Amino acid sequence: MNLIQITEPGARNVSDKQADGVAIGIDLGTTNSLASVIKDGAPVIIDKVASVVRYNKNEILVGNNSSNDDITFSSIKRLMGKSQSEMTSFRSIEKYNFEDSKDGSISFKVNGKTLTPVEISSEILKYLKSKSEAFLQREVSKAVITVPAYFDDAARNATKLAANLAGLDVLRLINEPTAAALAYGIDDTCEGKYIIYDLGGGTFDLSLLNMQKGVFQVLATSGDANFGGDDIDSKLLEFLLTQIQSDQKLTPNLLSSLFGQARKIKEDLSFNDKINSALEIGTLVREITVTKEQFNLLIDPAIDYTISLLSQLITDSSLEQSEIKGIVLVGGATRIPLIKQKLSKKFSITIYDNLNPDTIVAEGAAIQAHTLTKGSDQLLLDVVPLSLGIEIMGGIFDRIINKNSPIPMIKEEEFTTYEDGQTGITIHVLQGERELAKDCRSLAKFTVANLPAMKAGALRIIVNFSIDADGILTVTAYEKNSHEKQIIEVKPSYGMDLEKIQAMLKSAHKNAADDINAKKLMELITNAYKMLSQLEMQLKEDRHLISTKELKKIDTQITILQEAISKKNADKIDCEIKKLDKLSENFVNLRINFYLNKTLKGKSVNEVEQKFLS
Amino acid sequence: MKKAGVAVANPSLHKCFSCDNNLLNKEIICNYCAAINDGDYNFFDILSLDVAFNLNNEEIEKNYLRLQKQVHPDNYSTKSKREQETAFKYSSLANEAYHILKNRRLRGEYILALSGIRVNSDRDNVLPPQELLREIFATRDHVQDAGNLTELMTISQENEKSLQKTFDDVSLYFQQNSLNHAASSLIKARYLEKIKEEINLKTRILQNESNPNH
Repeated sequence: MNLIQITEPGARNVSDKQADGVAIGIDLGTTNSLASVIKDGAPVIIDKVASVVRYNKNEILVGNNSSNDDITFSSIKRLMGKSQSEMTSFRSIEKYNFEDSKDGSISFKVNGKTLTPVEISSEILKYLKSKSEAFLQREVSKAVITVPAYFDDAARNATKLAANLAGLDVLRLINEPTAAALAYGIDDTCEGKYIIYDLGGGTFDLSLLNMQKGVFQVLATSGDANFGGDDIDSKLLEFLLTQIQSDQKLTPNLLSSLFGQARKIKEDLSFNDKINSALEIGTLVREITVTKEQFNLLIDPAIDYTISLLSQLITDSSLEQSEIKGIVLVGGATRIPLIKQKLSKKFSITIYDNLNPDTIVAEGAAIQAHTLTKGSDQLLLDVVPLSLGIEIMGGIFDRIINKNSPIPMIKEEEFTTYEDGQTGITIHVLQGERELAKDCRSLAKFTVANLPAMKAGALRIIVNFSIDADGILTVTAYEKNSHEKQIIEVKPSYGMDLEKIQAMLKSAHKNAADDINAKKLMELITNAYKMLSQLEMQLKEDRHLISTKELKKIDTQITILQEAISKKNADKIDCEIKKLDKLSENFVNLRINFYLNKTLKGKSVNEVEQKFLS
Repeated sequence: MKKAGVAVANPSLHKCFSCDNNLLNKEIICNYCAAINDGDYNFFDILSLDVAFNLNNEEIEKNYLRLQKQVHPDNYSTKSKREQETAFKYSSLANEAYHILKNRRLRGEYILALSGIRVNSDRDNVLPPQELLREIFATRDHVQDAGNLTELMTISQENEKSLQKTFDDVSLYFQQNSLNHAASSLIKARYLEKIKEEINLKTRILQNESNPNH
């Protein structure tokens, strides 16, 4: 294509750079997922989809909430980075075909294929990626993805891997409450300390933030990664079922439908004191009445639980209530009036609930994506949510990095052998707040081997923990005195061994044959749009250089190319771009000559370059 | 105080790796080319503070945030690998320095560590004097036996008073440069802080007992 590409070697091409630089924000939620991007300085929501993936024989559908069988996966976020022994938090887990694995990782058998939560989650991301590409009319390969502040290292890594599988480069994982605060802070310049109370579908997160000019500093986080609005739905459903006393067998499909109905009743109770509803239980229909009082009584302990975590966060931070400027409510479940009521009663702190709790997290992610690609004065300082350390003699958990330490963070500790002649030392990496190793989450286990046999306590094993700005951990260990420093580096991968991850990425690349075609199409479309916008602008300015006949030919070809773009036919677009290129060649050359002549008449070179580069 | 005379090259002078500009005050960010430099600094250097026990918390925070705005890895995503790694390292160091220096006990212990006196680690096995231990165990028993929140509040207030007194001592000893005394007081402070944690824990237990909903 020879369309006015007169640039000095090494000179920047602004439009190319922007094409590379576009990054979206994604809120990968338990119930719903959203993509957002900054447009004209403010975040806009590109798409919102139910976090449900259905595997049909020949296609994968995202967002279809209506069916509930062994090929439809919802709330998959609750399984991210989990092992089989930790699956209790996953509702109606028994309907799926589990595959037994030796390493304790979770996988499902679907249509003869083995699927992991990471792969299922990546389908949601792929969906949002393609929606964003359609919206932006260009390839999107970078994203900021939000995770619950209380997500452990395993779940963070799993999320990052899912993004890689979806063809997204993760610029940064940010915590959901922090993202909410970012979105909030953009309209509000008030400085001070705020608490973000984030009750999502499947997780409950608390963050204490210090908002200063240009800096968002997370001071502490707390919460429960296995508690959310879904649990409130369950409570209500249990209540409804005891009310109607049906002996109908609860199939997964029926259960799913009942959950939907319970959720609807919950939502309606936010605006009504009493709900009369016809509950459908399969073929049965029962009239039921639920009052707000009954509902509040049901969920009271759950709300108290969240409030106790909030009080604890304040005490742990050695803060007085008066030092906190506000509590910001985030997450759809915070629409339940009782939450605000109880918070106002317990704390004399202003409550902010004026932003849409459903979209605020995705918007914050888009803001951070923009900051990281386009640069900004805004800096985000985050903390590690749970303590990290290793197991020492007696099965004790020895903390190396304490929870709520700011990240990035590098820390080294020295350990030694306890037996004479010991030639190896096992490093068991753990995360958690309990005192015993067995009560903490095991992240990785590796051995520093071939140590020189020495007296107990003579060896000096240095263990280095390094957490990057995404909150992801790398552990290194070596013996200090050995002539040969053997360094072992481990990135915890939880149940999924490296080979498996590589195989997954490989098969992702294989499946990527389609993705490559899609990518090629997107590049063609991007190029076509670039060409069209340049040409149209130039024609607007300099149409006098060519005859009406020639102009008409070019205009017709522009329309043909636009049609080809809308049909998304790669070959056709390619062909029509070339045709347009050929047709406009004369105009382009005339234009160059026109401006070169002008230059000779004393116009500045800069001005001419500006014209050509525009 | 400046001395007049002919300037000579100082061989130990820090130079910016990128532009060879002299880094007179061991600046991390070169004030000429803005490259981020590597070096050996203590936590006070890092946050541009004098080595002192009595520090203003606002100044610590202000310097910390200013430094993070310069060295946080987010600012170096398009820079060279070397600078990215240095940014990661410095951002971590700034975090560590902030974590240590904003806490008065850790700050005191760190000043002692700079002078070669280590009291801060559980592994050091520095045992407090018998008398202190007896006092601590007695208070711990009181906390465990406390039957209601009022009783606990009294113990808590006493403990807070002791803590304040201990830190006043620490401050005085540092001013007199009497490091060994400062060390003993800091050990005492550590035990009193542990009691404070136990009081908080016990408070939560008592609160939960009085609220049957939990």
